[in-house]
Amino acid sequence: MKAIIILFATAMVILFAGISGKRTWLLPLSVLGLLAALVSLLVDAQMPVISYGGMVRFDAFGLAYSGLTVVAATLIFLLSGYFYRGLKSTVADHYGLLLFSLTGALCMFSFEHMVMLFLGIEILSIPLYVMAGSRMDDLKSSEAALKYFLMGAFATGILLFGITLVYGATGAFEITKIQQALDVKKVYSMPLFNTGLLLIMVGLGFKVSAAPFHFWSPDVYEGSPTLVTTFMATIVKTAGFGAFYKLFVMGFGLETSYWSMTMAILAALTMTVGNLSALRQKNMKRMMAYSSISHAGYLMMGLLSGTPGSKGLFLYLVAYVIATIAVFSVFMLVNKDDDIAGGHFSAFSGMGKSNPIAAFILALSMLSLAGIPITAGFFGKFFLFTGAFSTFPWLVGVAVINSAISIYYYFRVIVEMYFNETENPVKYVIPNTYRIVMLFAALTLIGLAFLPEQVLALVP
Amino acid sequence: MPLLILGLPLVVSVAVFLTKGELARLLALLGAGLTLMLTVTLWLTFNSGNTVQVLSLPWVPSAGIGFSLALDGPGVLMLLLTNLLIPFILPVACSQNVDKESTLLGLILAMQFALNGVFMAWDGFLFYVFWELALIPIYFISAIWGGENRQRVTLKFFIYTFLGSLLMLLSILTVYFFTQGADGKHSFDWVALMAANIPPHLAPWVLFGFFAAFAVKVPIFPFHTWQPDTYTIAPTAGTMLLSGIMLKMGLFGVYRWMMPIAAEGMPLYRDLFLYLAIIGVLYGAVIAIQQDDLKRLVAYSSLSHVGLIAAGLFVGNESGVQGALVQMLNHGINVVAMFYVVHWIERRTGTRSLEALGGIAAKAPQFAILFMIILLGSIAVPLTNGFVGEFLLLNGLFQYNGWLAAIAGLSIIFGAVYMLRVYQKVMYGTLKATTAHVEDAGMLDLAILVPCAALVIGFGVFPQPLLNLTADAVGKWLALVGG
Repeated sequence: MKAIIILFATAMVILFAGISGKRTWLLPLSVLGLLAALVSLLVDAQMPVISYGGMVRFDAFGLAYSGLTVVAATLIFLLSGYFYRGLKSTVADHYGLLLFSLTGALCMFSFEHMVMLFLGIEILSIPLYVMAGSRMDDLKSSEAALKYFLMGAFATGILLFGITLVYGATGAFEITKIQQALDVKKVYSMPLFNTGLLLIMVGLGFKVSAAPFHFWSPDVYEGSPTLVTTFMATIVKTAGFGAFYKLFVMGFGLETSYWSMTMAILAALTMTVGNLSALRQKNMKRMMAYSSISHAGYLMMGLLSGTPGSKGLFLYLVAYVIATIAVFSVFMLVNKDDDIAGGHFSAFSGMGKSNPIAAFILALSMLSLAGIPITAGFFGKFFLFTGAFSTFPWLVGVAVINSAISIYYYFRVIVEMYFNETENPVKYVIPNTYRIVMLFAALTLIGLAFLPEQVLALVP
Repeated sequence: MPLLILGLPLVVSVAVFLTKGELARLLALLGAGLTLMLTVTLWLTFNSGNTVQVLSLPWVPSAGIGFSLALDGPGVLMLLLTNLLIPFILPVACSQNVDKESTLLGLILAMQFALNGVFMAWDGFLFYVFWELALIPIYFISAIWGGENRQRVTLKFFIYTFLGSLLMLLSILTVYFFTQGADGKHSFDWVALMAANIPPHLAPWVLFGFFAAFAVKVPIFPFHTWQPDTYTIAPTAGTMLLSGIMLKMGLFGVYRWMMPIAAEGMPLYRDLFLYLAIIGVLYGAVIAIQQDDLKRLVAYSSLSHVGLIAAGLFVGNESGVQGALVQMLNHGINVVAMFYVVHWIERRTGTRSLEALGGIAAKAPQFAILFMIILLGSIAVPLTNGFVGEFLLLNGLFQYNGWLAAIAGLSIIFGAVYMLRVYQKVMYGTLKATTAHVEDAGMLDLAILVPCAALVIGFGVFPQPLLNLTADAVGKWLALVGG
């Protein structure tokens, strides 16, 4: 619980340090703050802590998800030093905004009161609207910011409307009270309640870019600076699913099968649309955007089966987040100037020879995203599929076919790196911070195969 | 010892990846040789009646997944197949003068590790993991060192087999939900999967899921479309791996996993599977007769041969299954030797086209004799290894249905037609421009072809040790499957 405060304080300190012009201190300071937050998570009691007048409930679930996002943020910050090397203006506001956004994510994992959820989403989103447009001289970046902001605001409105309707039906904002109302008042047959559920689902669906609410994400992913894209693809997605799980599985419960069927259909649609669109991409960043949509589809399967699903959901998120950060770390090296044209697949040709380490990391991440044994992604997929199999076998069938299709575009990167030659191979200089991130990613993606049990035990 | 057989190739593989040149070659050959010695020792000391638990470690206990390995007679036979053929495949890889040779050798050894794992796995999840692990090295081998169109062909191969495997995973999952492990939880252990009571309405789906994976891998008609292309574009070492060992994964899967676990669904669909297998037998043979490209021809002939093995398994009687198991080993030896012959001809003459070849026998008499012996084994002439297996297979088929056996028996005649046609066109006739300067087999060629020819005759004259190895296990298997 202290983690939220530590992160907030770090962000404030960074902003002030930026005013005083100590640029070289900013990154170490931010990482230090993140590590402090991580330590505070580790020493936090496992028992549920309810604080702030019943607004916040911090339990093992919140702990695990917060831990994942803080680790992911640390990795992203390690990548940022090299990424912002050419930036003339101060980086303090960039760091500060990312940290504020992370604070919002933590709120979304630990809310008890739905107002807290709403606040978390806003704290998460508003800094990112700014960050998406942070390359002010770039038209695409401004377009991304505008699109993200309009769509995001729209989604928040719908979400708020949904929360209101649920409150109208149940008379409560707190998850535990909603549960009681469900038992006592049998509200799950009320149209008011179900409409509210549907609207909340739409609102959160926007955030995790589930089809058919995904149209913003390819453009926003492509236009935003790659570091911000990485943040959106990993932390925002994790936050969205954390909130989804907390609200729907822990709050509304599976007995209201009304929403689970809707969710299953959305999941099937999301993974299929994401996959089929990714097949035709020629730009790595857009491909990753569509691939992240299809991953959202797989992840939604984790919401459909209660506790067994929650384990698969978390393991999958770990694998997805780490692999995505690894992919973008290599992408940032290859596409040094971070221009949109530089993200074409052909930029990766011959990397297997010229940059064996970076190529290996990228290949491993692609294998993991595709779910090939014995990478972490395979275990994530396996437990997700197992969880959903007894309730929605047809959905698992759709997911299996989609997994096979996805091989095509993930392997295109591998094909470019290892089987295609380039005329003038470039040897990229890999900064030490990038080496740390890559090593961490490789260890996680392979090592998870040996201790899935320990990761599964993190979530209830 | 079985653990050493599993682990040694992995260790050597890593070592070979990290070294270069002569040292890598030496390491790879030494590792493969040592593994073969261990496997032969295991074979000679193995008490065939038992199923020996090799290892049983918890992996994901909460989900009933264990890292458990076990061996029975057929398992040992498959280890023998893998570790016997790898020492032949490695020198072929060395002889191709490719760049990044140590990577190629490392990948082959990594593949050996995965294959040994597939044949030892005693846990459904672990089996799937090894099964997929075997796919990754062969994908890279074919896609990096392959011929024309390799990217498209290998990707098709990968996606095709991956989809099949995922369907198998769904089958394993379905069965898993009906298991009762030792602690009351579900379990992926082979014994638990065996004991699961699958509801009748699900049994066919389980069967088809397994069938999808194995039929693609073997391949069984009409799931074979990836096979001729992939065999043709892969470098010879890769083709040998694919045809000699990898497709046996599918056949072994039918024996170890599909038929025992999905036995409930078999009676209804046995005929369907049998017909598909027999169609493959004829289809492969007929197309092989019309081929001009030698490598493609051997690929189609292999399709025909494995169709018969699959048919023997599906029949599920003693003679059929025994024949299938023995023929898996023998087909491995024969097809690897045949692909080596093709490789030899292509290297010496620069072409694989039958029309462009001729008269090699006069130039290379030693090679001609060895080729002849291998060819006889391939068309199952008595006293060669191919005969033992095919006889048992046809006998098994005959006991089930005389007509099927008669139709399948045609394949032997067809086999003689296309193989003798090859021999005639390549070895006899007038010398052509391509073959005018062919030299006889060199040291390396002899080192590979002579042992292969010796094995062809050796297992043809003395098949009993192989049959003994599997006899007891097959007896138990029949009791389980109820064939």
